[in-house]
Amino acid sequence: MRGWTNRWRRPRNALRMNMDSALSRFQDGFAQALLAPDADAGLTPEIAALARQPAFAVYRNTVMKGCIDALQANYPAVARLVGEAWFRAAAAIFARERLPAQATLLNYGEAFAEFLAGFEPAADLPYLPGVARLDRCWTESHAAADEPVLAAATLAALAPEALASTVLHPHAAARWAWFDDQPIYTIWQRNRAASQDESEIEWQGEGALLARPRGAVLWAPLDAAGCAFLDACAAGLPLAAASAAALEARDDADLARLMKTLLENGAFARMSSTNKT
Amino acid sequence: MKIRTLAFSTLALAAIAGGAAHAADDMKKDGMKTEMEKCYGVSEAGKNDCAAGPGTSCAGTSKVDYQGNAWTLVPKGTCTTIKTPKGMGSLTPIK
Repeated sequence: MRGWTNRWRRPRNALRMNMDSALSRFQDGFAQALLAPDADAGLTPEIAALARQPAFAVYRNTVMKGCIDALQANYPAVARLVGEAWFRAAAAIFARERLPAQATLLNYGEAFAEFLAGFEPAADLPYLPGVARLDRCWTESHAAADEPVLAAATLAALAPEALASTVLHPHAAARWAWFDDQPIYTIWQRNRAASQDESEIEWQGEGALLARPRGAVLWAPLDAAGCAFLDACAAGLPLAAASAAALEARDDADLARLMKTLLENGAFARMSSTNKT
Repeated sequence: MKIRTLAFSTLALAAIAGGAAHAADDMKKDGMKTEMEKCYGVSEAGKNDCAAGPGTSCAGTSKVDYQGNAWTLVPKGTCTTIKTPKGMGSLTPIK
């Protein structure tokens, strides 16, 4: 709720400030009334009078509908897993706890995975928070800033002795996540892509890479070694350390295949060298 | 130990160089397929829902009520097809 109306506060001079604070007080009260159970729940008389009008329900429900629609659009794999009615009812509870902090609803619902993890009716679906995290990764990848992608040829042209001290910088739209004991990637991508595949899923840890090398978000499976490698790259570590991290995560890591997957999916934006000489 | 680590990382870096070269070759072969699907801000319907759509203006008449908190719903989506080690996804009503 806080911050929701703040963007209208632009004090310029004393007169403007008075008008603004009156306006923002009204807006804060109005926002409070949207969620209040009834018109007498601690509202100012002015706002309570508004909230008592039958038409106020139009505001209440339209705001809730907007939030729930946005969540459903932002978490399509979760929605498909649980069905629309369940999703919208859960989303309504989430929205009442956390109204959007920005006017743009594209980014709304950042905390939804966390909410699902603590949401008792979802306890029978332990994979739901993980699936929500990948839906969130999609949104972040989709909305990330444009950036050129590091071409595989650029890296391949590097002298072998320069590789160890080369740092690969993850692309702005690259997101990755590893899930230790659940096949989150398989569950997520089947539901994200509306697949009809209902074959049994092997219950094991899985990870995912989402990136946007050519305008549209792509995804690929990524193992624990790949996620550790990208974590190391994101921390600014050179390839010597990043490959050591990958091998530590999985001592049978196939680095050649990993590198090919990462480059083909546009995981990196550019490279630099830690070697200053 | 030091030598082992060194040999280890040389091998690792050789694998990385090999992977990069392989990717470079493949991407050249494919002629960098461009499936550019550029969208500034607004993408699919609903992704940037700033209004106007069926029911938007009147969505909030009192017949739509988002106040209800009684939780009696059972998930009806594809989760019923997913078999976890603990059994099928939720098929029983939640108390």
